[in-house]
Amino acid sequence: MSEVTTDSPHIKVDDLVHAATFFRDFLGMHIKSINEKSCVAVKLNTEMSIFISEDSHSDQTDQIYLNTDDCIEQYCFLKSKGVVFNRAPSYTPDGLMAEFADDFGNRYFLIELRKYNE
Amino acid sequence: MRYVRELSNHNRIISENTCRSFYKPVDSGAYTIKFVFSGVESCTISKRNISIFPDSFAVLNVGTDYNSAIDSITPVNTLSLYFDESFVKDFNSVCQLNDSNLLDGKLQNSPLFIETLYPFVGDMRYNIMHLKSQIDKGLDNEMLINEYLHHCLLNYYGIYHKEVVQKISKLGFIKTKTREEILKRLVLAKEYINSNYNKNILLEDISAYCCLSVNHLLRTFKEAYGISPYQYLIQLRINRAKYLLRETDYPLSEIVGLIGFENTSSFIRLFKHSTEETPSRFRKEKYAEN
Repeated sequence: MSEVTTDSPHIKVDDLVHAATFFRDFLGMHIKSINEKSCVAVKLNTEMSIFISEDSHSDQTDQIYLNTDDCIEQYCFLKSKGVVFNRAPSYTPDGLMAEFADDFGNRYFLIELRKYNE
Repeated sequence: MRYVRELSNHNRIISENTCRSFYKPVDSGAYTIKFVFSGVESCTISKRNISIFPDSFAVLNVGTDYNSAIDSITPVNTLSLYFDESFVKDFNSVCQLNDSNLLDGKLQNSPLFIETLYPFVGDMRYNIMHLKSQIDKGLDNEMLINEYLHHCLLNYYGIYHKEVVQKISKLGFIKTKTREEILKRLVLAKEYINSNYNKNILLEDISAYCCLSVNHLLRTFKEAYGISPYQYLIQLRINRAKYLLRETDYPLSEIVGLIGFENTSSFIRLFKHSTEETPSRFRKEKYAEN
């Protein structure tokens, strides 16, 4: 299975418990508690981690980019886990991209960057 | 090693690594797309002989009488995708019909593509290389296979549009029928160059193969592709030399012979002119990258 990596984004959610369920059940991530209102979701043995908090911070984003080597494979894998995609893998000038969202309005972009000039 | 998989929608995949094989479909009730990852596979369509190299892929329509053969000292790695006729028909309708016609369920006839070699580049290459890598790991997930096949057809439609539809519009004839007919012949010219790139090709040979006079061929080829048949041949030889420099450890003198050059120094000059570096420097850089 191809790996998924992120640049460790910080996101805001309304309900930490509900968010933890989403990351655990759908994305297969482990949840490490930081305090009562925040935690970090990590995927073991990979470079994928997402900081989740009920509090608002200036460094938070609602657009999370998940890089993968094979978008189609990850798309099928996540779909089989129950993730509902807003956009199936489609072509952009930079490569292949699919999109899904969580219940708190955060948008996740699964991206496979491709070099077309080689 | 041979991988055969038939899906519930009757699409089929065959991947193999073999030195010798001969295949003639008993009932060619499927559209076929053939890829080669190493070596060369020969294919006879009616009376035409084409050679599929790793930089191109071949497309065959449903019902086409053809056979394919491999005869090599080193194993040739191939992948053949067989798309069921109704699957392609349905895909074609979705691509071409507008929403109201789709809702009315108006299906068009089975599409007929130009059966020839197409460049194995861009998204098609990425997706097929992913599929191949999954097959090498024993892929068994039907949903994933279907997704790759769907994207393969989508990518093929993109390549077809670029290689056929856009090129037709570049030809300066008034009648659409004439433009289409000329492009079909130019496609044959390219196919001939692709399959015989390492031989001493004469313009007269290409012209006889594609049924265009030499003058007509030169003028229309340049109109459609922006370069002359000779420039296309040199570009093809350089690209195939790059592949051999990257993927094999053959000495340069052998590669020069394999791609149809008689003189090593003239090859080095052309290579340098095209890539702005010498073949040995190109090879060193590719080794370092890997």
